[in-house]
Amino acid sequence: MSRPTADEDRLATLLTLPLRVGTLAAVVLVAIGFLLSWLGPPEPAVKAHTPLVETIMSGGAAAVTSIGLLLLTLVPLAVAVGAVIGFWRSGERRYLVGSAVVAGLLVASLLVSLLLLAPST
Amino acid sequence: MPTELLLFLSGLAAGAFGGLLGLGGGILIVPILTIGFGVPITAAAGVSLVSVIATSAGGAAFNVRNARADVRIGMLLAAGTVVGALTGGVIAGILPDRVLAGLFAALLGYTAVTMGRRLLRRPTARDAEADAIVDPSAVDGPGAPVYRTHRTGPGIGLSFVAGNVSGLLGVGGGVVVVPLMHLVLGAPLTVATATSNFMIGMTAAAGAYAYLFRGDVDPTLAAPMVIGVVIGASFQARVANRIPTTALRLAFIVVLVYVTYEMTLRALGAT
Repeated sequence: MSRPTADEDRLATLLTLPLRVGTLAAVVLVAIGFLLSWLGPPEPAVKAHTPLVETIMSGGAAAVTSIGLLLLTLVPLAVAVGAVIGFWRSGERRYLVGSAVVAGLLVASLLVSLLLLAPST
Repeated sequence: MPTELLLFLSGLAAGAFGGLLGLGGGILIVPILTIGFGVPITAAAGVSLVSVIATSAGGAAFNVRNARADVRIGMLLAAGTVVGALTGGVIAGILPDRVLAGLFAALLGYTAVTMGRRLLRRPTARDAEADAIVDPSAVDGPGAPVYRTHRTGPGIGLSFVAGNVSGLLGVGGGVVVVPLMHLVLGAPLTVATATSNFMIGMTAAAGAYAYLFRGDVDPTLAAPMVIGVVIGASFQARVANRIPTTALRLAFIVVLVYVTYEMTLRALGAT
């Protein structure tokens, strides 16, 4: 295998940084929320199908876990944005277009879900 | 044994197995939650999609840094899978569930037979040599892998189907992406599984936001599972290169046969 070029090394860093930092932060939050719900004082159970924003606003262990889960789902979006920046810098248009399509659709999916499925009050 | 511990162990197994085969683990998680824990299918699909992201995130950093995943072809195919995942619901509204299940069963059954025939064929020294010189991190040019420019158009079209599978079944779509990369584009199986593992997080995220914001991802179920999945996926990424390709191929065929069987039952209206 050839030695990675500076461009290749930068691309790998742009992709692995959100993967490492985002995943670690998400798992730590999920674990803290899980431990709080397990070891802490009993809390009223979150009703099934409670929208995410309501769960987060209610506070407590379920809110911490939900923020961790939200952060985890944002990791792939951060990776796609990292790929856009990496391929833009290296001038690889073909992959820049592919990455931009992925990043754009993930942002659209996130915004549509946030605007349509979050409670209006 | 407490439910949380069972969920954690299930996540550990799904993360390791799903990451190893580039599947994401949703194929295991949905049946575990619905059959083992009596969770409704919508809630199981929501937890499964978040777990697929965890599988991808847990193993992808290692695979990218160690040049095992091809991020270039991965991003091209991800464009197809993400569009497919987002339109899965629309297609499901047009075609009856049983017809879709029948189509998937036929596609996956054909893939299983094709991979099985390759398993029975004795690999030549030329095959092994060709696989060994592939460098997934090479920039396009003389040293770039051939599969990046080989049948890319049909590849992106088929990755759209993989995205549909993901959106409809709450899995990562790797069950289509890995054979697509290996059989259609001609990538080595180890590169196909590592690349699939890198991109399925993006495919799953496209569908996961709706489940998450709607409240279909139960934090009490997802927390122990996600923790187990990330640990299992991180571990498998570090040992995957010690597993022989034949064993990997055989395990993949077993999964394909299982999913084909499940899809056939659904097509026949038996589930």
